[in-house]
Amino acid sequence: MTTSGTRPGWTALLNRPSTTSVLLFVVAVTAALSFAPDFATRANISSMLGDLLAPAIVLLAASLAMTGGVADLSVGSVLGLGAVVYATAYTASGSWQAGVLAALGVGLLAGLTNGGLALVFGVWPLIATLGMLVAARGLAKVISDGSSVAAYTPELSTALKTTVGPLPVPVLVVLGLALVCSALVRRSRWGTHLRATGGDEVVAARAGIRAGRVRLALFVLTSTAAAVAGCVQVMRTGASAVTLGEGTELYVYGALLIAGFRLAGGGHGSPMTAFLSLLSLSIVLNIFRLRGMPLPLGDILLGVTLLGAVSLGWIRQRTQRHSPEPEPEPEARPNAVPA
Amino acid sequence: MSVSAPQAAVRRSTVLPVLRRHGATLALAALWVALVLATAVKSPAFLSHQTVIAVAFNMAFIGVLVVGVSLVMLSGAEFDLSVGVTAVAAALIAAQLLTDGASFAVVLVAVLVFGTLIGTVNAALIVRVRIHPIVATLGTMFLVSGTTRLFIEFVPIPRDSFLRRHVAGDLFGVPRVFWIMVVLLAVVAFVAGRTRLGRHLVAVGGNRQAALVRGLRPDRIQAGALVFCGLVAGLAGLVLASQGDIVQSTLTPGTEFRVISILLLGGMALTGGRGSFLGVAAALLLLNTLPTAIVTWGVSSSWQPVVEGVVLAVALAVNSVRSAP
Repeated sequence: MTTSGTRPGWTALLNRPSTTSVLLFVVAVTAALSFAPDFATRANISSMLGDLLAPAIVLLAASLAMTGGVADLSVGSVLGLGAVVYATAYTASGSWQAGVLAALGVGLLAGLTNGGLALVFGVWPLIATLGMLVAARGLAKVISDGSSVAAYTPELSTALKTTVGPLPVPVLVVLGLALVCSALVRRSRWGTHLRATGGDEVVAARAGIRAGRVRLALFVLTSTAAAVAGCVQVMRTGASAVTLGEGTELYVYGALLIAGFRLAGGGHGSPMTAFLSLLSLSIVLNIFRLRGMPLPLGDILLGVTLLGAVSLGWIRQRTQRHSPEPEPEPEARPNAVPA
Repeated sequence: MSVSAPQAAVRRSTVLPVLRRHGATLALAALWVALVLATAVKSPAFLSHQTVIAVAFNMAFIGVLVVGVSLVMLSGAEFDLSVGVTAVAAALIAAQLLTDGASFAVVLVAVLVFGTLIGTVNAALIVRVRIHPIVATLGTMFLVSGTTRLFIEFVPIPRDSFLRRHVAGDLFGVPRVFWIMVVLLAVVAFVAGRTRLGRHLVAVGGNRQAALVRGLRPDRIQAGALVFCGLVAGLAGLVLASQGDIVQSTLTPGTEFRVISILLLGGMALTGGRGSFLGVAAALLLLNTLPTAIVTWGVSSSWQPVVEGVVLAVALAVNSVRSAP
């Protein structure tokens, strides 16, 4: 009797995606403190957070896009392409503004291409962006001729590396933006339209929302943000490697799925929780690096994260078996498969 | 050999049935012939024995994977992104076992078991946990490739092994493994198009609800297709290992996307339940000749991924136009 009394509270808590994110964060920090003694040093924390800047920018845009039902797998490749284009344009013209403009253009084009393919031909976003995933990575290699491009601007690098305590200022700015976006999605009319688009396109259309337009804007936003993240990464480190951004999409979407976003749109995650999940993942990677563990472990972590994150819904449903509500019929799912 | 769910078949049986049914396949084949002729005129070296062997070998490897994924696609489980790394891992296992002196039979069983294992994991994730196929197989892809690279980087293949002496080598001017692929493709096309099992598979892919109502078990059939796909990927590993002196963990990146492009361009509906194996065969010829042809035309080989990405996007667009009623 006592156990069944506590059960509803437990399940309710477990069902909140934010709980999962917080739990993951606590586990990651505990593991870091116990297994990697160098983790808590000021230098390590600020370098780790600094490396988080580019993925965090992508995450922010992707969280909005995912709320509206747009999941773009090409962000990692577009990030790499944006970085190479920025570095090349900067080297050619000598002004970083020109580099940023060029990268923005590339991001815009990539977004329009992705969005066009998905919306005009009615292809599911995740699949529609697979072509860009391959092509943008290839283009980055063609433009950079397969080697890294140097583009160092001392003042930008210093500006991006300013810290408050151990916390880099740019990351705090992104965090602030995430906070604003969280509030906008929840409270503003614009946020309601976004969630409606992600929830059900037909219903959204009946309510007078132009879902197609919203989605196209989301495609463009995601790609542009990825290109900007690429620029920022080059500004910080002074060079663009060809492999820059590889796997970013998986970390970002892994974090988003843990935070309760859904690939099919809708969901109830907030950008802040997603940011916390991303931070946890990068802490785990940091432990691997500090302990000098082999690199492929990172790939294994990616795989486990992705599968674990998408299985969360299933696990939650299993823990809920004893609840009085009837379970949804497993066969009664529509064509679009929930993640 | 085209297979389709009943309602599609009724719609298609109108005037000029042959052209309507095989028009796209004929177009792909014509494109391929034009590509080969144009490239051969530009540079006769394109038709040299060496080039033909290289292209046919690639076709054999990719073709075996295409056969596996085609059933997954027909059954409505979309596709399997983990086939490429599964094949490479299987090739590494085969090479390691051969180096350790295992017999060919043991190696064959080992790669098939390994492939089946990965296929079973995929099937469990997709059918039981209900993860979307792309996400599930993307996850297994990273798991498999990470684990492989953790243990083995590269393995040489002993020259005097059964694999090198009897499986490698040519027959009628192309590698023997090419004929293995052709036979596999023909058998699977026959099973999918002419047998009860095949009709069930297509029915599940075409309309899951209807299949369920008629007493089929969609989950079982989709899981079967996924497990078979893993098994075939293991076999593809053996094909890959028969090629050179060494197997590396970094071999053939991006294979999975090539496989998808071929299937989509060949006319397999992304939503399942419809497709033509003749079309797939034509797309296999065309898309595997294209990279070599492009290099012959004087374009740097670093453009290859760009071309592949564009081809994938075009294939998606073409596929969705053809799928539309």
